[in-house]
Amino acid sequence: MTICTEAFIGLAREESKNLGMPDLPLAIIKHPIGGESLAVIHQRADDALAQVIRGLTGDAATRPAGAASSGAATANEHLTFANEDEALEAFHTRRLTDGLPVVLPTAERVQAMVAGSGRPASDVIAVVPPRWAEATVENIAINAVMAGCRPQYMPVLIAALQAAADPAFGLYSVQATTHPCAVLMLVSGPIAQELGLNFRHGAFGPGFRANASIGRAMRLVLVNVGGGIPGEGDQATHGSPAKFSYCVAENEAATPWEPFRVTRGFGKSDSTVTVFSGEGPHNINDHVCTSAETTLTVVADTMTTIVFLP
Amino acid sequence: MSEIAVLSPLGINRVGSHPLAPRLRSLDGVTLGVLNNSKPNSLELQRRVVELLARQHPVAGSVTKQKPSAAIGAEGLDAYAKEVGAVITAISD
Repeated sequence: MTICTEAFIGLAREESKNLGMPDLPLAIIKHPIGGESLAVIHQRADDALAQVIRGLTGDAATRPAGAASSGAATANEHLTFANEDEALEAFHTRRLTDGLPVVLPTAERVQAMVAGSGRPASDVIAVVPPRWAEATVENIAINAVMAGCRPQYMPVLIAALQAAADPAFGLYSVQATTHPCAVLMLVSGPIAQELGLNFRHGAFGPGFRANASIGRAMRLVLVNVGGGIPGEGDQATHGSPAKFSYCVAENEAATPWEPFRVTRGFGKSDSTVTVFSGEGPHNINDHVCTSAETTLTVVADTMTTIVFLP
Repeated sequence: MSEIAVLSPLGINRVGSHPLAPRLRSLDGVTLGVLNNSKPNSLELQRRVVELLARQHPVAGSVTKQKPSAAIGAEGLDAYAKEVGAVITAISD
C-alpha cells in the first residue's frame, strides 16, 4: 500500500506497472509533504486514512484516473512511413526524441552502429529505470544513430550505460527525481583523442560531434529505453540544458595531476568513462588570481552561492 | 521521397507480473510495517497514519524500516516481510 501525492500519481502508476504490479493500491493526498507544518501533515494523514484501510483490506480497486503512459511504439517494431518527413514528425509526436530532429534509424545505419560496438546486437547492456526495459546493443545503436553518433563511439556509450546501471549509481532517482540533474560522462584516456572528443575551449559544448552525439545518445536511451519522458518518468520540475547532452573529456596533457582514471585505480594506458549525476555546470569566473590560495577563495565563494542550509 | 522503414528506439520491459498479496480480512492484531524513504516529513506522515489507524483497529504494533536515502533501494525486504502483516510506503516530495 503506497501513499502518494497528486503530483506523483503518473510516476507511481508507471512504476507499479513497470514492476509488474499495475493494480498496486495508492492512497492519493494533496501535494506537497516536505516543508509543510505538522498540522498540515496530520491533515494529509487524515485524508489518507480511509484510502489506506481500503487498500490494505479491500479489493485493491482503488485505482484513480490519471495513469500516465507515453502510448508510444513498442520495442523491436519496424516502423514504415511514406517518406522521411513523415517519419520525423512521427518520432516527435510519439515523444521518441529530445525535441530536436534525429537521424532516422534505418536497418543499414543500425547495423553499422552495432558493428562499431564489436558485440552481438542482442547483448543486454543494462536495464534502465523507471521503465525497467532492457537496453540491448541494438537498442543502444538505434538511439546512437538517432543522436548522430559514429559507430566507433559505441564502446564509450556502452561503458557509460553499464556504469549508470550499476545500483551504486542510483539511476532510478537520477531519472525520476524532481531535481534537474543529468548523467554527466567524463571520458579519460587515449580514446578521448582517438574519437575526437573536445577537451579544450568549449569543453561543455557546443560544436564537437563526439561530445555532442555521445551525450545526446545517452539522453535518448534514458528517454526511449528508460522512459525518462518529462512529466512522466522524468519528474524534473525545471529540466536542464544538461539533459540534452553532457559528455566531456579530460585534458590530461594540461593537468599537473595524475589522470583521473589513474586516481580511480586504472592504468595510464586504459580508457575509462565515469558517470556522475550533476546539475548543469556553474562557472567559476576569475580573471585576477595568480596564486592557488586566492583561486581557491574564489572557488569557495562560488560554491557558497549554490548551497542552502535551512 | 520514397517509403522508409526505421527501427523503434524503445526497449523491452521483461519484468514479469507480480500478483498483489491477498488483502487482509481485518487489521485487528496485525503488525504494520512503515517503509520510509527518508524524505522530509514522510516519516511523520506515515506514523500519523498508523496512529490514526490504530485508533480504529487493535493492531499489534508497527515496525519502521527507514532507507538512508530515497535514491537507493531498500535492503532486507524478505526478512522485513516476515516481521509484518502489511506495509505502508509513500512516494512524494
